[in-house]
Parts: sequence; C-alpha cells; structure tokens
Amino acid sequence: MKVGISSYGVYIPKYRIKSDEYVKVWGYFAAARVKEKAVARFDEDSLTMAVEASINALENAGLQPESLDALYFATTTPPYEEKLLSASLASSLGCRKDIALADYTNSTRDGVTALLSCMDFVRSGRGKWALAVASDNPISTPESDLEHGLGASATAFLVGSGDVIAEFEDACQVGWESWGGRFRRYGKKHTVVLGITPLERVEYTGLLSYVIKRLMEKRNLKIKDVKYLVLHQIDGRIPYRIAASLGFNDEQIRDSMLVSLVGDTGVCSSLIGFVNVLDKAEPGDRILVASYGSGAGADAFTLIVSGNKSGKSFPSISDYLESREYVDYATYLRWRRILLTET
Amino acid sequence: MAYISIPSMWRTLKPRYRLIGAKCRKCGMICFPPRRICMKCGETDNFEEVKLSGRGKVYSYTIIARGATVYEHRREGLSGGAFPIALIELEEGIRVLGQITDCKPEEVRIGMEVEVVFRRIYEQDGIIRYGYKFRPVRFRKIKERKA
Repeated sequence: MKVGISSYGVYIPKYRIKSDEYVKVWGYFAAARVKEKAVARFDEDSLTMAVEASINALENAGLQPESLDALYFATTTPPYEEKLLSASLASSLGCRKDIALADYTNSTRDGVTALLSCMDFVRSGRGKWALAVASDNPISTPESDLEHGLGASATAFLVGSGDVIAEFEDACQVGWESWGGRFRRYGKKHTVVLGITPLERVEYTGLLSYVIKRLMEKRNLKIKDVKYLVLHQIDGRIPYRIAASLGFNDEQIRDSMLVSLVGDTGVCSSLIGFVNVLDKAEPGDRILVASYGSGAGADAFTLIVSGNKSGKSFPSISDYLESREYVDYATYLRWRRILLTET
Repeated sequence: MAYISIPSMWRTLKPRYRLIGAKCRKCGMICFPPRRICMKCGETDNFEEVKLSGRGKVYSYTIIARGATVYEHRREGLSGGAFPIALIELEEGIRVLGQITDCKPEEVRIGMEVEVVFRRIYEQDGIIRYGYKFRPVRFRKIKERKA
C-alpha cells in the first residue's frame, strides 16, 4: 500500500524582527546567517499557530476535519505543561470524538517523530487519515545567544494512502544520552544551552550525520539519488557544513534553508524547509529530511514525489514570507512577555 | 466583559472555537451566539448547527484604550496596548462582535475585509481562554487574485 503525504499546510506569523535590532541592543547577533525571524504576536502560541497550519492542510486536501482518524501534535512550548493539547487542537478543528490523539513535547525532533508515527498509523491500517502537526514558539533568556535565533511557525502534514503527493520510503531513528544541545528543566520557563562547544558539535553535527549515513546505507542510496536534503537548522551556516562533509552540494540543501528568514523554529526547524521543498519538487524527486532533538536524538526519512502533485500549497511558503511587518526589539520583548515581571 | 465561569466557557466552546451558530429550522434566521429562541420568528429550541464562514467586513468599530482594559484582559493590555473591537458583518448577513488582531488600531476602517482566526483572548481562573478574533484578510485565493 502506498502511504505518504496527501497534503500539507504551513503557518508563519505576520511579524518579523531583523537581526539589526539585536545589534542595536546587544552589539552583535549570535545566529549565523539569520537575517530576520518570525515573531508570534502576544495573542499567539503553539496551539493557535497549529490551528492555522492544520486548517490550511485540510483545505488544501479538501478534507473535512471529521474524516481524521488520528491527530498527533508536536511542540516544545506547550501552553499547558500537563494537558492533552491534541484534544484542544481536535476541538478547535471540529474533529470526531473517537480519534487517536497524542502529544509529542520533549524535544525539537518531535515534529518529524509525530509525522513518522502518522505514517505508521496509516500503514498499519488503523485508520485512513492522520494529521501530524508541529508548532513551536521557543523562548530563552534575553541575554543568551540561543535566544537570538529562535523563531515561530507551524506545519501540518496530512498522511494518507493511495493517491499521495509524496510517497514515504523509509526512516531511521537514533539517539543517545548527551547535554550538548538545549534543554529546559521541569517547571522552568526558558530553554538553555550549556555552551560546551565540543559536545555541541559532536551532538548536533554528529547525530545528523550519523542518522543520514545510516538511512542511506540501509536503502543503498547514493548522493545523486537525493534531489533535496532538508536538515534541522539551528543557524544558517552549520547545515551547509554538515551537507558538505557528507558529500552533498549546496544546491541540494539551499531551497530548504529557511532559517535565514524565520529563525530556528524548534519542532518545525526541518519541516518548514521540507514544505518549501515540497512546493518546488517535481515528480520523481527524492527528498531526505533529517531532524535533530537535544537530549539527544535524530530522525531521518526519505520520500519520493509522485505524479499526483500539482502546484504549491495555499498559502505557500513564499506567500507567507512576503506577508510581513517588522517590529522593534522592545515590542518583541513585550509580546514575548519578557518585559512583564508579573506572572 | 462579564465574568465567564469555566462551566459556562466549556458549554460555549463551539461558538468560541469554531464560530458555530444556530440556524432556525422554521425561518432560516442564523443566531450567533446560538440561543434557544429565534430572534426573528420566536421559534423555540428548533435550530440546527451551522459553521459560519468567518469572512466579512467591518461594520463599525471602537478602540479600547490601554487604561480602559477590563481586569481579566489586563495582561493582554500590558502586552499589546490599545486594541480594536469591531462589529463584523459576515457574508451570511449577520453581525458578530470581536477583536481585530494583526493590525494596528489606527489602521482599522469601516468596510475593511476581515477573516476569522483562533487566538488567545485572556487568562482567568488559571485557564487560557482561547477564542475567535478577526484580522484583515491576509491572502487571497489564486482565482480571486486573478479577478
């Protein structure tokens, strides 16, 4: 049975902040090759952004929310630390009550993990339609370098069988104990990084390289068999280095590098680049997506674009990138509630 | 705004989250929020659920100044400052009251085309009160763009 992506949707908030705003305040901007990033308004959070991306995915498919059999929701910034958010999402979309729900909320790789779980759900025959939604609005302390690069966005992928637009091929998942990336202790508001550079390099670069090599070995794939490589993006420079070290050229990765315009969007970090690639891809193209999550783990999968794909999603990534308005750093702090001391 | 208890909030989630209205089975009048007695013909408890389009135009509006924000909206007032509230005339021909978001208060105009969005409204009793707001239409469908 052909299982894969039947439609997809994305959401990028209207507001952006330029890296120059950080330079004015701090004297530098820490996220390499990030020009500007998407900012969630004060009345937005991971749930509200997820609703918009989900509606876009369903409308692109012409599918009613009542048809969904599974809804998996990934975020590292849940509005409630304990409470089923996929249930809130299901109610705001108008799904049936008998629906498989799950939240994935511990790591930035969870967007891809939720998508892979949807593939498994449909392939096992438990249901016909599954929606994998990833939405994130990560936050760190304003004085940390990590905070500079953090952006906001949401993606949603409708997984089905039969006439899919991109057929799922295979996946590989890896992980081991590490403290080289970001984490947030229980009850804490801000995500932090320890800043141990050697460990950071081993973890992010190491895990992504490892998972991609393992998957390519497993499927016996050569570099030329992959048209587009989509990597998790913590900045606009290291993914190019990882791609080059594996033997990929810049052309294979360029179209997915959205971090320079939206920032590191947590669970959407690789998926938003994947959406842009899907908008451009032609039938027969193989896409390899690899996502990273501190802690640490990495997920990679490949798909082949099928002849059913016609045109872009609506609204497309380029629609969203053009629809923007800039805010200054003070507004950004106020909207992120960093300036508010009262809880 | 009057205090909305958690049970009352829960009972009215459909109109708040998805703009579900009630259509009178006798005269076809759409009531939003849903009610038990038809505003037009007086028919009682004879409605069907109808999902409203969420698309319409600003019929009239006002700006709630920062200092005039009611207590439960205080944190939102601090985060966002003054905000517009508008009567929206929906495509279905009925009028709905809601905040305008993704828009500076001074940019709101009578006749402005808007669409519904799901946003955080305020927090009370430890619960995040999500609901609908309206924003200026952000994208036009391809066929509308050509027209």
